Amino acid sequence: MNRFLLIRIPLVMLVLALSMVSCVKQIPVAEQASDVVVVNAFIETGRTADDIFLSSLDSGQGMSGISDARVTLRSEGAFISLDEDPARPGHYRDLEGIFLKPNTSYDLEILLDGERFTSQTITPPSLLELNVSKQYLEVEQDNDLVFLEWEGLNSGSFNEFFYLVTMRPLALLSELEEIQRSPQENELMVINVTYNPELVLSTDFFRYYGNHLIEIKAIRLEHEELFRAQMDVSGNGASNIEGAVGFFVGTSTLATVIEVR
Amino acid sequence: MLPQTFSDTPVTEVLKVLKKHYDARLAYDVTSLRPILASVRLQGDNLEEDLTELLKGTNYTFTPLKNTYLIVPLRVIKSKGAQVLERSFTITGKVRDVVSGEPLPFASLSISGSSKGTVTRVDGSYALENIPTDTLQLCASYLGYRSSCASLKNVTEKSLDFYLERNNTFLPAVEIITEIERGIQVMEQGQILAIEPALLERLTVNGQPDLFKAVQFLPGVSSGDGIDAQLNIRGNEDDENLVLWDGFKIYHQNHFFGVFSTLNPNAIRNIQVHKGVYAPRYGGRSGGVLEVTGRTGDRKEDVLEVGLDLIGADISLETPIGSSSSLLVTLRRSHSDFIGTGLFNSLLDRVFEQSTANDPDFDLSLSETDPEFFYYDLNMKSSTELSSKDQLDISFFQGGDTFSNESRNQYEASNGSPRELNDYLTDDTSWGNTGLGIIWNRDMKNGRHAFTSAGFSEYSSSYYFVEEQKDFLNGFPLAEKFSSLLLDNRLRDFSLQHRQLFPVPSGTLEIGYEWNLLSLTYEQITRENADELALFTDSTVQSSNHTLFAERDWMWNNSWALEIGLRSTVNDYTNSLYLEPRALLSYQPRTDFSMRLGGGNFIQTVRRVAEQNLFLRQPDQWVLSDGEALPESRTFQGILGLNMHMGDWTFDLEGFYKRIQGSVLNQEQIRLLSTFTLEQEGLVFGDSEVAGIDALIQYEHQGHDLWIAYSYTASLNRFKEINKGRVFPSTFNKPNDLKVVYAYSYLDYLFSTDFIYSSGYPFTPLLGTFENQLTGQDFVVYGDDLSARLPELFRWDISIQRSFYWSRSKLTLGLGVYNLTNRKNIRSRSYGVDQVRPEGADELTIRTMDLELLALTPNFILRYTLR
Repeated sequence: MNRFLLIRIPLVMLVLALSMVSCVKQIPVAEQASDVVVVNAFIETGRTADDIFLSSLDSGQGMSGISDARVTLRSEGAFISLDEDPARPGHYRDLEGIFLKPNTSYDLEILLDGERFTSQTITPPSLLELNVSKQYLEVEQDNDLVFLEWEGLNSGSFNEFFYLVTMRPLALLSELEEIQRSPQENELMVINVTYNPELVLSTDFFRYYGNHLIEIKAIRLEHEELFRAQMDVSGNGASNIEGAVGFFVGTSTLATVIEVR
Repeated sequence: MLPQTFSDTPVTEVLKVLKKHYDARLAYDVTSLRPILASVRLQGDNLEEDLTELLKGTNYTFTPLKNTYLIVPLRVIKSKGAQVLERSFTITGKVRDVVSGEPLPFASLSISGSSKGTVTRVDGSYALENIPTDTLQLCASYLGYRSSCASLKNVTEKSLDFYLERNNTFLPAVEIITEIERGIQVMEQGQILAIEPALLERLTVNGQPDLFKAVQFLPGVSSGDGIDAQLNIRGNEDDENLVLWDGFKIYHQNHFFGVFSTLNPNAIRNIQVHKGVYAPRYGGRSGGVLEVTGRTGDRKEDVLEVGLDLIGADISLETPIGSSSSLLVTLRRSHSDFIGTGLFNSLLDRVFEQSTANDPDFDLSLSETDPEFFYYDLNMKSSTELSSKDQLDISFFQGGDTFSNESRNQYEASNGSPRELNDYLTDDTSWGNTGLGIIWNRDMKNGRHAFTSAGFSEYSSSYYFVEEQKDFLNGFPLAEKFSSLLLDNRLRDFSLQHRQLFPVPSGTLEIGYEWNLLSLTYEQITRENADELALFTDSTVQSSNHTLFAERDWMWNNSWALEIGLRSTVNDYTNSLYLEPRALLSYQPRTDFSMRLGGGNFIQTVRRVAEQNLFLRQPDQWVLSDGEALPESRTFQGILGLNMHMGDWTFDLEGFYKRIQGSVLNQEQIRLLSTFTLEQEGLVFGDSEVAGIDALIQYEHQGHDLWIAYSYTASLNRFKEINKGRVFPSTFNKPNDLKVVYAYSYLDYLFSTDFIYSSGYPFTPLLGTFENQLTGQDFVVYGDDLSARLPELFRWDISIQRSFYWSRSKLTLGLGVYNLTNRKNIRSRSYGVDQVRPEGADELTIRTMDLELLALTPNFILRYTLR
């Protein structure tokens, strides 16, 4: 074998070997935090779609709003276009004032830089009535309790809905007076998930004096996992947005105010 | 300098002058030549003329072989015009160590000037059929030994034994410069990489010589964990490798949670690594093969070796039994349970860190802990030549690890409450392997050879864990919790194999049968309360495999060779017939150049679905594929390669493509490296494709050994449940992997250094968090599994050793430094996410936790040998 062949054959072999490798596509690099779109879309029966928030992930600088998206709600052949609030980048709302209906399926579609994100929810029936045993709680009184009872949606033995109860003070944080007690890990807002149309509140639920807004939101059971997880460390499962992360959830809401004094 | 007149000067001294003058490679037997005195005048113009003049009247002559001049007795060289043999013939014989008399397995025999050759069998015997009539000489070579050539003049049917001399043996200051393959050797047209056992000692940078760490320096072989005694060959998991020791398999291949391999270097005679397409007599695994042949022991005199280092001590004893038998006993034990050296402690710390990094919420601040650990292994091998045609080897192996730990963790309430939680943990665990191999080799008439073996292997693990929690308020007990767990895991593997090798026209035929019985037992006893009855679960499954295999090889035109083989197995557990065809075509137009093309199927039915992790209460767990819920691992591999020798240089290049079906992964382990249950929850199955190039450049010259191994490996896994079916790499994939090893021996000094540079390991990145605007809850978002890469790995190790000789004893002292630049190499990354936001913070606190590989670690080498 001559020297020319000795050089050429390894080169041919190298090319063949390289072509074996190139048959296998390269793995795309990891997506960046900025590539992930976060959707916070909660719609309420009897109200307009007044705040759908699109943002990037928080990777240290907070969740910054995403502008210039086309956000549409569709239902029964009709559609509602949402416009971005110029004062609040990333927040989209319905300027036409169309009230959302109970027991209705809504499709969310977001178009952003050629990408399309979709989701679907069915609004629950309307919650009708909320009974509150009293409008205040006294911190100094031992075991002071408030009973909440509302006209629930579940019937029979099978739960179709659950209730998310949130409490938040109706004042700026700087104006709030903290309740003096032994340290405990109460957050600014307490969330409670219940399957029965009733809840008992005590002063242990509250950290500040003053008026608190109590909201009871009925949500279909299919969305339960989006709320039950404190946080998602095992995957990106706490999302019902195709192509993005976040929530599109229809709720039916009742509210009252309780004073802590 | 020449010209020069010599008077009554030993021929060996004159040869030294010639070697220096011509810068030539000369090979000669110093013992035989030293007594011969020469009186001659040499001109220094032409080496061959000077050699002719020098050897005139000495009964010695010279012959060029490759780039070396062999000085050999006159009778072994066929003179020009000598009688040409009438017909082709067969030669049989054995290749042995000249000092100890031990047979040398897998030694190469080649006909000079031809690509024809063979390798010895495990008993050192060989048969070379159809030798061309114009054959000049037959040469035997063996890694770490000086080659030897013998004339085939006037032979028709005869036996020819070779006695090879080991390089750098007990005798210091070796004068002969000759054809010595050292370090690693590419064999069988690149299909096998052999490692010289002495290399393990040369590459000692981490406390003890270690087989797996040396194998990791080969192209295409990596460690799943940078340093650990674990082998990933071309994209296969380490449990997919067949690790054979004297005919039996070794299932759990490391000590000390993966830091050292279980195979004692002092007991090793031969190491062969098959990465590509291998013969059908190897089976049961879908990855590579590491075949280790144990030493049989010195057949001429007693040898005692004692070694001590910062990890443990070892002793080996070799003794002849009668004229035809020998016995070798080696024992190795760590002294870590009564001597806590710095090296041991840093390795133990790493084991702790690796384990605790698995749980992001685990608090490392153990208040009191008292770990006790040791490992040992014992090898015994006897080898008996029952007759000139029969050899019986019996090899026994037992190795194990024992770990016990008692710790007390105390937690105080974070809000200042007088509440206190005490956690008492007791771990008591042991695990190990036992193996027994009986091998009978028989040379038969007409070049036939029979090999019969029985192998038994057992892996067992026993794990006992107790946890007691006591909750106190102001010193008064509030609550107590008790739980205990006993896990007992046992795998038994019994195999019988008989195979025969027949010479057939233009090649050989090998036919064999193997029966393999696998039995897996698992027991678990749990108690959740000290007063309650224990929950007991156990299971045993068994699988019987009957295998027929055959391989036929042809050689034609002295340059083309074809090997075609088939392995067919009937498995009674899956009720399946597995067919594994394999083929390899090679073309060797000249002795220093060859090409190869091949492909084959490899099937594995016993799978490891959980890897040992002490702190996750988890032993290795092996299960049998049922062919449905747990599929078999099926690998197809195609290869294309070439091999070249140019002077002192060897080049080997091989491209490969693999398709692995039935890969198994634990989804949770990919992200958080957390445990999973023995019910196999979290196991997912998919397919993998691996393609790459392995390149090896090797240089050997007068004490210098250098090799550069580079691999490029693309690994693509597709699992329906992971990344929504998008591809991702293996957890251990490093696309670019460069290893440079250099060793230099000068007189009694041995210097070695190695350098490793590779792509970083893949990991699952945490991209960020987001908040549910309705509830204020925070969520964490990860990127695709294993979609990002950690920083590149870089490591530089050095070691220097010196040997001192006194009559019949040798003392080796050395110093090694691991990771000389103290580079922070990261093996894995996980995240710890606080459950709630800190007071006043806008976001969750996320801690990035990197598991770093070993930092700069010096170690000391001490070894004493008495002969």
